[in-house]
Amino acid sequence: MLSDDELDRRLRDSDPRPGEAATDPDAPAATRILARVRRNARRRRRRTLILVPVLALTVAGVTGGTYAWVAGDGEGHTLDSTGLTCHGPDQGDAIVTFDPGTENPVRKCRQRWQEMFGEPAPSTLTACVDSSQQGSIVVYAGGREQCGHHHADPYLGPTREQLGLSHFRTDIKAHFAGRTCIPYPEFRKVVRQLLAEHGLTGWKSGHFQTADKEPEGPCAEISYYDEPEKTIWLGDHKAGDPITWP
Amino acid sequence: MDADERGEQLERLFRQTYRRVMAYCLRRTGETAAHDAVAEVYGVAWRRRRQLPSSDEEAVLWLLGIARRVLANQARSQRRWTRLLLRMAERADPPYAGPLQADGVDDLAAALAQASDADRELLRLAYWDNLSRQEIATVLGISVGAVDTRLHRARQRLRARLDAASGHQDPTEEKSHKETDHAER
Repeated sequence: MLSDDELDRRLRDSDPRPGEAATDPDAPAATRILARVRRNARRRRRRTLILVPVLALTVAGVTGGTYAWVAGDGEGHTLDSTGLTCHGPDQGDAIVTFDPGTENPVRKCRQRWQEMFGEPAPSTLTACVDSSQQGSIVVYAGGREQCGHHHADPYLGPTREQLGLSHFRTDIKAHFAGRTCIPYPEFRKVVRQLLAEHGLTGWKSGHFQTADKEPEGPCAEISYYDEPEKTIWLGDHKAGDPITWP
Repeated sequence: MDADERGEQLERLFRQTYRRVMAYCLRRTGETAAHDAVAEVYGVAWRRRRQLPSSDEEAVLWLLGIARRVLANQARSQRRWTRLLLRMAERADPPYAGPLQADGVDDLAAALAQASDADRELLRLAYWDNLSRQEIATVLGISVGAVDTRLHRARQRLRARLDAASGHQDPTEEKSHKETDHAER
């Protein structure tokens, strides 16, 4: 069995140790990164300046507006409503699919906690929107203070558009129930109809291709919902296999 | 505060902390992804500057906490993208191969690659980033006691994997694998 000292030594020796040049704040790469951060900060500042006077017209809006621009859409909404992360106790995070129209993030993690982490769920769980650009939903053990503790904002539920998307997901699954091969033209037609039906303005579908630009296969399925880009990516499905709906 | 002052404040924060934030990212991802991650870290930090700790050391830990989440999101997007490509190729969804998993790596790298994300991150913070238990607790947002327990278990599990790889039998091995199975289920 490895001794403690030997294990420590091997762990330290495995450090890839980035060189001095790679981490130099005066290196050209660092200068480019700083310029990029400044550009984004200025752009964000302009957006905030435009937004705040508009929101000042409403009493409740002022607080929301100044608190905005921190995570997700800045108002406690994720920009990635089809999945969530349950923040586990000891063994890392578990990412699960999510439907904001029919599911509650806390309940979803609680139901699957034992299965995912091998122990009962904590008595209190809290859903937050993390500080990544897309503001993913993360459920932490503990109360609301956990959001601040993890540099996140409390999750305030789905937007109207996300509820529309939730209904879309339910309806398209029901529409094609039992089918194992849906041709692209038929798939696109139904997508268009349901997008209009649920008020999902500006949304479109696209055929996901690699750089090789493969032609469409005989059957389609939904690969991924890209909310910031308002795009439903379709990919090829193998005829005869049951369709998995994201 | 006017635009010039804000610009200076951002530059000061960047210059004081860049070396450690970039090193943290480079230890966990490739150069291009690290540059993207660092830009995102300072972007988030700038938006949240009211929460920026006043001491330099605490500011670094705060930024490393942001970096950890930014990298996790990068990895998540990467996994999603990989799944998309695999589905297109009509293949089954395989487990995510971490950045350390590659041909020809030594047994420690292989054992680290098999560890859970949480174990791997804890070990890296302790042995690569050289953070104290208190500092690790701050970055991960957990108690020092939890750091001690998790670090102890992470080392045990790693040792069991290394011993198994080298043919040694360890009495804790079976238990450790069971614990890992729970996490990866």
